[in-house]
Amino acid sequence: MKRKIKSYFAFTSLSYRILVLLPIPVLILLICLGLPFQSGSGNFYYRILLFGYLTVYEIATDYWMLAGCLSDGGSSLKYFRTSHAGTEVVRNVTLVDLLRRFAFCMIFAAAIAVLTGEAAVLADGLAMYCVIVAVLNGSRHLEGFQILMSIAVLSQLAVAAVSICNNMLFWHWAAGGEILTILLLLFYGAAALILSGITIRRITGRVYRRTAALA
Amino acid sequence: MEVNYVLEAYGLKKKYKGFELNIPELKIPKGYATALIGENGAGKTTLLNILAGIQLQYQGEIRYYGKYTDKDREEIPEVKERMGYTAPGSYYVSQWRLGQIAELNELLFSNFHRERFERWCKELAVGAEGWDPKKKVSDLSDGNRMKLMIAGVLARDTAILLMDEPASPLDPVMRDKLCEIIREYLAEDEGQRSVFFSTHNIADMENVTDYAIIMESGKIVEQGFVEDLKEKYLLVKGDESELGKVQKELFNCTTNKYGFEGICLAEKLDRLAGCDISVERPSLTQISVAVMKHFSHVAA
Repeated sequence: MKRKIKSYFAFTSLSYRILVLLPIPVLILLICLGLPFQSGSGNFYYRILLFGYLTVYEIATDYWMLAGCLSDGGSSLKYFRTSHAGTEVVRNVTLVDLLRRFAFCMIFAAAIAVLTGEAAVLADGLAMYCVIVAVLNGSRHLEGFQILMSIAVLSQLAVAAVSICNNMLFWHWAAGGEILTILLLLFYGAAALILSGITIRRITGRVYRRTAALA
Repeated sequence: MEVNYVLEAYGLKKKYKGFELNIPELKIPKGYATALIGENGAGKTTLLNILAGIQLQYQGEIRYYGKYTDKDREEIPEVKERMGYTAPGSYYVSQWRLGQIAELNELLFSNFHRERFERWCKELAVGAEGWDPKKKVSDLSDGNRMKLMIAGVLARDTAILLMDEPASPLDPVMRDKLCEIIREYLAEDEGQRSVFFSTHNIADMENVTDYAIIMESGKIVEQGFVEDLKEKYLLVKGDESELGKVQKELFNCTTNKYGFEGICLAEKLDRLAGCDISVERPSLTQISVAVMKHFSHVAA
């Protein structure tokens, strides 16, 4: 694990870690703690807002991390091909990045779950992670910051849609609350694992550009 | 003279649309600086990428250091550890800083020495300040990025440097320095180190080249030790009135107001007996241009 974290720290600059990993999530979390959350559907809009902000932040800040790494003309991972350990380092960076994103999503969801007393919010957190990872698999084919920002803003719609679907299930089957929570957690948990595996495989495979003719 | 080989390749083939690399045999002598010369699109980068393990989709076999195969290259760390590779273009992520590159090199290569890397960055003046760990790759010019890569490979204990167009982005002073670096690199380990670099402008690297391989359209069309090539080919000069008698024996010729000059094979010299010509030892540049022109598809 130490080598994995070292790989991630080497790949990301100190300024990225200080500015991007700390102030903004802390700010959003403080806002989250400051909002008047109640149990029941009353806090639904606050949740969508916060999850939306977090999604925009997660996708936009990827620009300084792995933006363009999946595109044919983008940031080359050629450098990693010169070393036997290259694929391992890229895999470590991707894994730690995903773990960090997962932790952020679940910390937010857990904070809201504690404030509202609703464990079902954890499913929303997992769902947000799935949306973020799914979007990144597409946005990493692009390089420009403006287009990435546009995708990030549009992703809020995806987060809102998923959150609405989750909550409609609860509104419709209020009696099955606990079972429904467990089922949603299992469903989104499985989706998170599958998406994470796909992400790691795609980026690691991109080290040798196995899906594209090499120049 | 007995020659050992640091890299051998047999039956190398790689196809792209409109181009095919086809090299039945390639041997790079150990302890020497070998130049891979060819015009744009000859296949130099493709060949270097295959040898460096950057390009895995190809046919053929490669042998490293006399004992490892290309399959070993992917499985045994030592093969790539002992290889240093540099190339122009997008190599490092542009947002990275020099300090990050040093840390990544420490993770990727067990034989990387950070203090040596910092010293080389200073000596090569990577960026105006030399060593600045906060300097971003995106702030460096193409030449400084190449210097950064060169510093990276020199900071490791390698047996061979594979360098793709190392001189292209460098200024004349740095090109001269590069030749000096290559000479010192080869001299340091008593003939155990080798350098294999590609260039389309051999004039800059001629004084450091021991062995030359000339490529055209994906094939090797000539190769040999430079001294042997300079005996194999001759530079023929004469008055324009003699051109008609000698032209068919020349690989190519150029004319000017003083007459003509061209390259021909030394074995054909007797066919030029009786002609009013002078014969000189050609430079590697002249030999390369003549051979490349002979095989080139570019309109004369």
